Amino acid sequence: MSDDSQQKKALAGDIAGQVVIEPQTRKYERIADLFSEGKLDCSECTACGAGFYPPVDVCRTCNSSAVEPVRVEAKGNLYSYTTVAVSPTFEAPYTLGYVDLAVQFTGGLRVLGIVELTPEALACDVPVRAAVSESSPVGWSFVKGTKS
Amino acid sequence: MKKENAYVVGGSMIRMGKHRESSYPDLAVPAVLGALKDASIDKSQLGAMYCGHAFGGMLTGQRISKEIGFGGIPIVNTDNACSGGATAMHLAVNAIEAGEVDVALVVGVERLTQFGGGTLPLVGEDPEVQQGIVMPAVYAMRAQRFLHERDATRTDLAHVSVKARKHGRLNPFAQFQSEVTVEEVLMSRPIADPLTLMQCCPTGDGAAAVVVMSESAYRKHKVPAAMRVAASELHSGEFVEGFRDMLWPEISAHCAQDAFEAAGFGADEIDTVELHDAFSIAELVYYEALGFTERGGAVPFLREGRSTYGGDVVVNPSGGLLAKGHPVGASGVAQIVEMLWQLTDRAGARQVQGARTAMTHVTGGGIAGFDHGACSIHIFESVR
Repeated sequence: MSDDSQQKKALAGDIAGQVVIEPQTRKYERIADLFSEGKLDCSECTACGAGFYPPVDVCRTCNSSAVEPVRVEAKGNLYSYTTVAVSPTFEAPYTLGYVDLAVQFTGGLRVLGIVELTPEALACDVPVRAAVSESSPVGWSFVKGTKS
Repeated sequence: MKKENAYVVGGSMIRMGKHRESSYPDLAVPAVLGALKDASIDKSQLGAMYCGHAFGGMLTGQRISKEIGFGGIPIVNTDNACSGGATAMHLAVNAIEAGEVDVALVVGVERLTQFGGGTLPLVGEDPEVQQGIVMPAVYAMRAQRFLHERDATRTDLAHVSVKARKHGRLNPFAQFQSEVTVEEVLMSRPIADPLTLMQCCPTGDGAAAVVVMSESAYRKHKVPAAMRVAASELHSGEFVEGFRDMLWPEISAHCAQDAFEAAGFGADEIDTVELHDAFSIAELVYYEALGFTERGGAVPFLREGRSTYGGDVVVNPSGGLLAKGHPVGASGVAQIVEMLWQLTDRAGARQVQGARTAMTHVTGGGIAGFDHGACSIHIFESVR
C-alpha cells in the first residue's frame, strides 16, 4: 500500500475502529436569516417533541439527534417587553420582547424579538405576530396580532 | 461528610470606583495585603489561592500572586460572571472542609472601565445577543412584568435605589456615597424601560480579598477567627425553552433553600444580607426568592422599612451593587468582606447592631433561556 493511500485510510478513521467525530457547525449566518414569510426556522425533536429556536443538531431535552427542521408560524403572547435606550448591538432606541409562541412543542417555545407596537398597544399579554419590517434591525418584528 | 469547618479570619477591599489608571494586579494587591494583615498571617502560610474575575484574561490570579511574591501553591482562576468571586470562595471552602487545604486566599477583582462605559459585554455567539439583548433589558423585562402582575409602581422600583444610596452614603468603600430622591431616580437617564440609570449598578472597578482557614489551622497559627462558614452553595441555571416565570428566579430560590438546609436555620434568623441588587427590580424579586418575605410580599417588605435598619433584616448595608458598583468578579468577595465587618462590629456607621448571622448572594450572567447562569450563596455565623 502506498504512503498516500495509507495516510488516507488513517484519516478516514480506520485505525483500531475509532470513529473520527466532527464538531457541529453554525446553523445560520445571520439571525435575521431564520425568518421568512411570517415563519421562523426552528427544530423539532421527533423523539420527545421539544422545539428549539434557533435550530439545533441535538435535542437539549433528550439528546436525540433525530431532530428535524420545522418552520413555525411566529405568533403568540407578548410575555414582557422593554424599550432599550443603550446598546452596543443596534442603534437605540428599539423595543425587545419575549413572546410565548402558539406551538405544539413539548414545553412550548419562547422567543426574543424586536417589537413594533404603538405605545398605546404595547402591554404585557397582548397577542402579537411576526411580520417583515424595514425599520427593524433584523428585518422583521412582532406587530399587533389577533387573539386566537 | 465534612472533615473541617471553614472560618473567615480576615479580609479587606479597596474603594470601588472608576480606577482607569489601575491594572488588575494594581486593584487586587492592596486588598490582598490588607487581608493578610487583617488575618495576621504571612503569605508563606497560604496553601491555595482562588481568584474570581470575568474579564481579567489568562492567569489573573498569578499576575496578582507575582506582585505579592508567592507561588508554587495551587492557584485557580474562576469565571462565573457575577458569581465569580463567590465561586472562588466556594472552591476554597470546599477544599478546606475536605481537609485538603488549611489556609486559602480568596480574591475577587474586576476592571470594568477597560470597556469604556455602557452595558456589560455579553457573548456574541448567543442568539439573543445577536437580536439585541443587553443585561439591563433582561431585568427591565422582569420589571415590566412585575409592574404588570403586581400592585406596584415605578416609584416602588425607585425606592430600592433610594434605600441603597442611603446605606451607601455611610460606606467609604462605595462608588456612590450620596443619597438620591425618588424623583432623581425616575428622572435619571433611561437605560431599558422602566429602568433608569440610577436603577442600574454603575460601571466600576474593584477588588476584595479574604483569608479562609480550617479550625485546626487557625488554632495552630494562633489567629482569631471572625466568622464560621455555615453554608456555601453554588448552583447553575437550567435551560428552559418555553414559558418561564420571570418573577421567580428559580436558581436563587433553590440555592437559598440548600444554603438554609446546610446552615440549619432559615431566612428569619438572618440579621443582615448582601444580595444581588444589580438593578432595582432585582432586590424586590430576591426578597421573595431568598425567603425573606412570601411571594407577592416584596413591595410592602421594602416600603414598610422591613429591609433596612430597624426592620426584619438589613438588606445591603454596604449600599449594595447599586451604590458600590458591580465589578463583576469582585462583588461576591466584597459582599463577604462587608459581612465580615458586620459580624466583627467593624462596620462603623453602617453597623447592624448585634449582628450574629449574615448571608451573601450573587447571581450571574445572561444567557438565552436561563434565569441566570450561576448563583452562589454563603451564610456566616459570628464567632464571638
